[in-house]
Amino acid sequence: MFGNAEVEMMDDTVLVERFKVHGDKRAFEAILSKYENQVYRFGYRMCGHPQDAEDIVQDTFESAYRYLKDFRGEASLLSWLLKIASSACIKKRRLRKDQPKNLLSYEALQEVGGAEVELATPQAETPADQIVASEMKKKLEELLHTIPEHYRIVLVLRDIEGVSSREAAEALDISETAAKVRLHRARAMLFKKFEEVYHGQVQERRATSL
Amino acid sequence: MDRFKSDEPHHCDELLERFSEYIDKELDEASATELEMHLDECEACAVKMQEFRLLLLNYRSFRLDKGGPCLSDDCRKRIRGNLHLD
Repeated sequence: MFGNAEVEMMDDTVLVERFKVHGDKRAFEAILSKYENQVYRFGYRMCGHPQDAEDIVQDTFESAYRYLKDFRGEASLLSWLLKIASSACIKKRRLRKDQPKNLLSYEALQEVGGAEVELATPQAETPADQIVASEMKKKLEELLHTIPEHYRIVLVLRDIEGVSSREAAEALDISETAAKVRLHRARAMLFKKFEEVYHGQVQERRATSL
Repeated sequence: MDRFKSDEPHHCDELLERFSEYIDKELDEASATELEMHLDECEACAVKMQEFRLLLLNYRSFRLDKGGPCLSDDCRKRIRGNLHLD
């Protein structure tokens, strides 16, 4: 018999098997503990509402509990969970049509670090850097919501969650080619939005200061 | 090569999706070389490509961020309660 600590250390394949074969609820609890925050952040990036993101986590893991017996391990457990979460997001967005209004603003960027602020680097070195990096991350999270959902979802899956093109395509029930096309379009749209909001406002500010 | 001439800015504006394909190594060799030559000639596009890469790098770094928003304790308990895990 395994103890709770040992169950928590098991890899996904073993956890899935223990749940499927033995109905070991501790194995499911370990899966839930491991991925619940990642699914929450995915839901939050897609919906922009903490309550919706919590509903998505709940729907995802309740579905996973029912259907884990059918999981064959062809994709990673995380991408399988994100596939369920993607469906939950799409359903949720059909019910809630309003979009977050708090788009990236020049003033917000100013608060982060001034007109010439650089993009945050992944590794902030000092506490002050960490604050700037944290604020910039928040602004970049907001920027995600300026592009349409069917583009954003591919970008979040591929670039943030790190799933493969094939897994993203499976999650969204589209061809791998379509997933790639959407990703390239999504990145281009996001970059244009970034330029519009950031560069455009810097230029506008420079023009008015002349 | 004409469509990449740096004196035709309307074409440069259309290159963002190609930047993305290049980063993912999805361009064929001829197209990749053509883009590289353009980037050598067009400073505006070279800068844009650098910013494009940086933006993606920032989003990719979110993956490693364990300090982002987290599920509330109430929701955590509710899910475990609904699934009779507690």
